[in-house]
Amino acid sequence: MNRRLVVLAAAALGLSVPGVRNASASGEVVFGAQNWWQSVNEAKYQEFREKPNGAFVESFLVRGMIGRTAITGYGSDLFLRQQEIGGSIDRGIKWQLDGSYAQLPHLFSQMARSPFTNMGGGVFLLPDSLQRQNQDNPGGYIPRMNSELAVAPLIPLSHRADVADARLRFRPSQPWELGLKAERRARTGSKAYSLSFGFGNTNEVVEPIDQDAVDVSGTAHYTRGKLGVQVLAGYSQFDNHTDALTVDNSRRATDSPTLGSSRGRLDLYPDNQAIRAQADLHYDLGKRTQFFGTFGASRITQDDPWLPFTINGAFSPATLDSLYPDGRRSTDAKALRITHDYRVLSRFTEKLRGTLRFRNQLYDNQTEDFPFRGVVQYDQSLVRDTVGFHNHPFGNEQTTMGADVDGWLGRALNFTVSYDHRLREHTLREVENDTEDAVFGRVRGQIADGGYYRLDAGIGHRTGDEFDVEEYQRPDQADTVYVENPNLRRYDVANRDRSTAAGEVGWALSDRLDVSINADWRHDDYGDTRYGLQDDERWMLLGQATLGVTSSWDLTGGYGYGRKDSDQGSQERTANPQIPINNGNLEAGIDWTARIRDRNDYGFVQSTWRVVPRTFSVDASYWVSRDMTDYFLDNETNTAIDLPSTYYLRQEGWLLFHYVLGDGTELQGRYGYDAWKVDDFAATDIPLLGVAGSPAAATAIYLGASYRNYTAHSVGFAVARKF
Amino acid sequence: MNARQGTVLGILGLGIVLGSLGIRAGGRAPRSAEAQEAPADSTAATYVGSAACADCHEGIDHDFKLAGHGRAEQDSMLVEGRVGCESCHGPGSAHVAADGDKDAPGFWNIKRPDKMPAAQAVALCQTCHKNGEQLHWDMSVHATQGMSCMQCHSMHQPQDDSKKKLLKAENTSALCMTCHKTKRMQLSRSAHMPILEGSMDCASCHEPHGSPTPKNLKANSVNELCETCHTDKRGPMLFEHAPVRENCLNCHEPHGANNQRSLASKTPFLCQNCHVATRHPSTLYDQPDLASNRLFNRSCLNCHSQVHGSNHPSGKYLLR
Repeated sequence: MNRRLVVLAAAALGLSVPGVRNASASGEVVFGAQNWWQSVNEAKYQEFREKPNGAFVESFLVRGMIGRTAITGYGSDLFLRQQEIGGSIDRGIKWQLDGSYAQLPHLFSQMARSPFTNMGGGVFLLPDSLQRQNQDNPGGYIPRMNSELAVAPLIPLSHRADVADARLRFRPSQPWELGLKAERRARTGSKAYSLSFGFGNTNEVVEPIDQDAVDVSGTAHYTRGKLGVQVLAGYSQFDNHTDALTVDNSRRATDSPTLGSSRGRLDLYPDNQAIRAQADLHYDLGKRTQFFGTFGASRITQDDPWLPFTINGAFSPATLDSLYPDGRRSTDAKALRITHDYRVLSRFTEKLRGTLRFRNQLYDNQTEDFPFRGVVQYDQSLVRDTVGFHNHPFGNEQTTMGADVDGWLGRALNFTVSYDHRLREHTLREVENDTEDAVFGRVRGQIADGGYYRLDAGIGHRTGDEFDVEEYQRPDQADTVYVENPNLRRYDVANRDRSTAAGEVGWALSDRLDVSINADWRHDDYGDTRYGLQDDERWMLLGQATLGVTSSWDLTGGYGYGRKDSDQGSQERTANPQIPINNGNLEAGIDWTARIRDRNDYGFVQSTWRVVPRTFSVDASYWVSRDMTDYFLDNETNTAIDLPSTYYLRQEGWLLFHYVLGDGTELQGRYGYDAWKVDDFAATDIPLLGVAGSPAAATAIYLGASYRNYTAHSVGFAVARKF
Repeated sequence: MNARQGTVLGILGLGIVLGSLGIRAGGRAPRSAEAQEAPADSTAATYVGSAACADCHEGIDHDFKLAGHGRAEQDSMLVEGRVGCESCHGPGSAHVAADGDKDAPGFWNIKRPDKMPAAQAVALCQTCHKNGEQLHWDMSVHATQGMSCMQCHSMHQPQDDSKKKLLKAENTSALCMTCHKTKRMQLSRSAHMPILEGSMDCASCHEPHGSPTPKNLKANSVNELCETCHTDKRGPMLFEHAPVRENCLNCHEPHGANNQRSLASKTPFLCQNCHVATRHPSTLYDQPDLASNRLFNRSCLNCHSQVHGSNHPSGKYLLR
């Protein structure tokens, strides 16, 4: 059916108000028409929402009664890629059946091109003759591929999640509530992905997305007197209908055990399942004291069959079979997640409350640790290993014990003080255990003339109990040889001092003018880190004001600035396969540092002008966000040259005219402005073939999915009607 | 304690001193339980039924019936055994008898939850709403701040499109950002979740009524929350990437970032924070390398595309 006809029919339904009213239904509907123009076809404009170009039904809500049963229907953005529609049937609060269907689009690019032919099932082919020519005459690769790429078809990159759910809630008697819920989330579409045939020979291709996730759960709640209990049991299943991505090698037509493969294959996300249960309990212990407890457990499994080590047919099956660990052909992965959270909350007096907290989260990865006897890298190089490449099933556990005190000392001062002691365990990491002590405080209250304030501050000190340098070594090599630099401290487990502060103050300068200022600051100091992230500091300041210019005109505006500085250190080693340690004397001549500075400007203004009160009003809004990043690079020999700064600018503006008719109908006129400006060395002007003059990248194939600057305008009208 | 931490403590101390000096109270901030008015005495009135209310409150009646509470009229298990308006507002005979005269003593003889102390208003709502999302309310940050249900919800004139949540704003995110103002600024950055666009909202991840998980998350951990939608990354994989399995936020900034895919830092620098091995992981990529596939386009991910983990037997380096 023609989409516009359907939209107009739905709009007509909204206009047939008298008929609906006779059926004792009530509701609201917004519909209209719009056109928009964009200077270039850049996906960012519709990244997460399709803009209607023509008639649209923006939203509707209808509720009717059949006896004592209520029927509700609602929807938004009908027939657009982000449409949502749902409804419910209920009998008061005794039972309710809900259902909804929603689409969540994500548009990545409208200018990607690919020379590969999609054969379905994740298989992408190049013409055999092209591969043969490139193999036999590699010197002509670049002009030959440029000719091919010049006629490569456009491939829109986007995917969409279709989410359908149904839920039944039922109260058989006063203390009980039971619930059943089922949700299916299907993702279809495509996005950019890469498959490499070795250094400099990346083939960026289109990953087909065809996935299903189904989740079903049941809940039971019991609430009576001092006791509240709820239990949940659920099951979740993820299925990836495309198991692997198979891509022709643009440089080879035949398989070779030394020169490479004619095809490459990577494994896409495997199917997985999770079963979960949770119990929450709330009990009033008396004497103004309450207990809250949560216990959750889930078990995740994944047992997709492994793909062969390589698709390269030049390796004999016997050779490849010898690489498997003990005849295994799948991971048989298992992980257990356990959560305990227990709290006792006591109100000592009307103005003072205390809480004791205990929380433990376990991710117990029960997958076996396999010793693979070798791997085939890039589908071209068999690398054997005498001690085995291990898969390292990482796990972790986090425990937090804490206490809070909240006090209400009057309007002018309320406070919270918290203390946390955190212990973490990281299985198979270089730091297996660390602890953190953190103190947090907050004061807030009201100040003169309708004002208020809030101040937060916190400090935390995290230390690892031991750094296990053996995790950076290989058991079959000398103790002086390291795979990773032994002075590296990874920031997720490194010693860290964290300081935070935040504040907010707002006050009314007059009857017509309110102002507020917000500030956030966080500083992470990794003081013991020589290589890796050393320091990370970020802050944000935002001021805004609301002015009643006249009794019929309100103006709100604000400006914010944010900045983040992160410092990292590294040591460049270009040739040696391992790092030799010479009595701790590192080669300072090859050390380098990077300071990356993010700067963010944000401004907005909103105006509401009630030209004729209750009849005609005009709303206007505009916001702009400018994101800039500077890369300051330095090395011991002062030869490092800073990278160019990146720049992103987003702007959006709206002008809305509202005219209210007397019978619950409003007419709207709309104008929209949208603009996007980008300068990013990694994301703009991406060629289809690697850049000549850069030997490492000259043969790589890209999709050319660059960001482009655009401006867009939209004009439309809408009718909003209550009935 | 370093100098900065001293400064932080100083700020906190200053706040306590300022507060303890008894800064004069005002009126516009969210009020704590102690800051609000006492309820009207409704003991002398009797029940008159919702039809009497609709005579004057016609507009409210329309929106109320559209919203979720409208259907509760069909149930007998309600507050004080009553259905309709008086289940929350108490017996209305004195209010009706005042006939709109605000000077009549009976006019104000009606419960107004939006004017009640937060604790009383919450207790009224909890007469029905104690299950599910509300089970953890008393230990939530919002309860600690002395917030009342009425600060976010409007029973009579909800502004949300579907009227399901009875919000005082057009959607959840707009409501949250009236207080969490800096989040609006973060979400405007070039890389962001589809929150301003409406495909997600703050409540997609956070449970404003309280949760046992820090930051009021809707799942027991960050990763469990992310995997609700990104189920493909749940694994466990054969070859795991340790920081991925521990916390998605090791690399991603969920509220918005300057970098694609909401990464905390641009690749390769993000990767090089943890990888200082020989050859290309530790190479300094500066301006002469702009065309290098280590810096350009997807950077490290041009080859290591399986950064969230690989289930391929040759996937040790996350290449397959």
